[in-house]
Amino acid sequence: MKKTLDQANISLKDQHGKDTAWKPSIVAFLCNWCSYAGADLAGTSRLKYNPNIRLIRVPCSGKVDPLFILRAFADGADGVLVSGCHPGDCHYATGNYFARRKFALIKRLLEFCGIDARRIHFSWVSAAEGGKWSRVVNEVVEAVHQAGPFPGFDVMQDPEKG
Amino acid sequence: MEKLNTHVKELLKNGIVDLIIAYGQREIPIANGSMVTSVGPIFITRESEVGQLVWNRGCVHNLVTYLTKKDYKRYERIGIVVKPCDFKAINVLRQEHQIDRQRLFIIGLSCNGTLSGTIDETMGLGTGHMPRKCIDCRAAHEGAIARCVPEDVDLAIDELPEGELPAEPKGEMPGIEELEKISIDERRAFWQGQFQKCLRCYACRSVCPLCYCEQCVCDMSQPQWVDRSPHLKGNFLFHIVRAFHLTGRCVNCGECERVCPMGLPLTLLNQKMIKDVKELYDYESGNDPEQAPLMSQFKVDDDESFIK
Repeated sequence: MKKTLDQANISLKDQHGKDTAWKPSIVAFLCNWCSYAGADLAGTSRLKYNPNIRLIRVPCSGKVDPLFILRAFADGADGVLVSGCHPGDCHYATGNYFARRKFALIKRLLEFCGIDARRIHFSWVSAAEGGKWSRVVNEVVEAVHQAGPFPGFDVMQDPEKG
Repeated sequence: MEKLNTHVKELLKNGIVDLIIAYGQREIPIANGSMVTSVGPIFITRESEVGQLVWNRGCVHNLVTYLTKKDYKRYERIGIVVKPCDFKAINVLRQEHQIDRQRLFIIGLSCNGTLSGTIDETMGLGTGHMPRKCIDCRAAHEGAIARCVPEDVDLAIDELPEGELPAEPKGEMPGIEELEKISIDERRAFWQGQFQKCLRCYACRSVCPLCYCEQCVCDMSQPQWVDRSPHLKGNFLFHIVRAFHLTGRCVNCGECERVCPMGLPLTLLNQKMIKDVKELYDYESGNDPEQAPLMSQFKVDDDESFIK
């Protein structure tokens, strides 16, 4: 059953009033220089966003090997977000340009292998964009929520039931 | 073939090369214990062995694979027989600084299609089928004949493989377009059905001319990126990693699919990535040895429509 976030949050309480709704777990790789600082700014600005995201700080979005993304899925993530500096703003000058090619291709490859595109996200968030960060996270959580729990690479799924 | 034999003899006699990697006829054992004659790679260091050389429909193998293997690094100058499609792999290896062009003596042959099949089938050189790469290659070339550019190779011999042209296979596997059209869940089910057959024998990795890493990331145990036992999860990861590591590099020689004992349609993944790379970056691997590899270059205006 696929629900939007709002529906999910008000429903599915168990008898003790505890919320048993499924919450996606999303792994986010953030570059140290822009996106991590942007997320920091979102925090210090007291912006609210969905808490279903786990941040991993990396030196540069160029450091994010597609293996990281695969491993995150293999270890039970429902979605992955990779965020770095805007093109031209990279601390190492060109890291995010190289990263951009890798991301475009791994996204297409995973989609071709049957991994829902709604689970894989990329964004450019600068250190000044706390607001954008909170918006991006909400969008990503919403999209992964729609895609539902990631069944894992090894669970055979009946395509009829979706 | 006469021309090929004479030239190779000359090369060895004059000491221009120390080793020739070529196609030859040899006896190999099959399951019931008897020996059959089959076509495959042979390695010649002496003039007297040259008689075994062949150039026929059975010469489907990509010999470039041997150039990066340790055993052949000790030879000072290696002569190698290549088809036009194999030649591209040499270009990629040169782009990645894995081989020195000066150490090679490349003999380029012309080709209009080879034969792929099991050993039993190919021994009679008649009953196999044409691999997918040949079908694509024939469509891309005028008169369905691919020739090596004489400037690229040290010696171009314009001889076509001997034997009748093999028949095209009956379509059992879906093409890329068909797979792209079906729903994401159906696609996942298709690949799971394929990947669960994988034995993780790594034949695809061993035979690939571009998989030359001394330690493969798929063999690492600390950290273990890819589960190593042959179950669906690890297989799925392995094949994605394999396809991704060949993205922008694969020259579609089809060897991975040919050697797979379980018949996985591995070239589908590679061809999908070749298609996307062409679409996104207008890049084709193996055409220019001086060009930087796809992932080592970028354009400021590369597509980023998928990035928030």
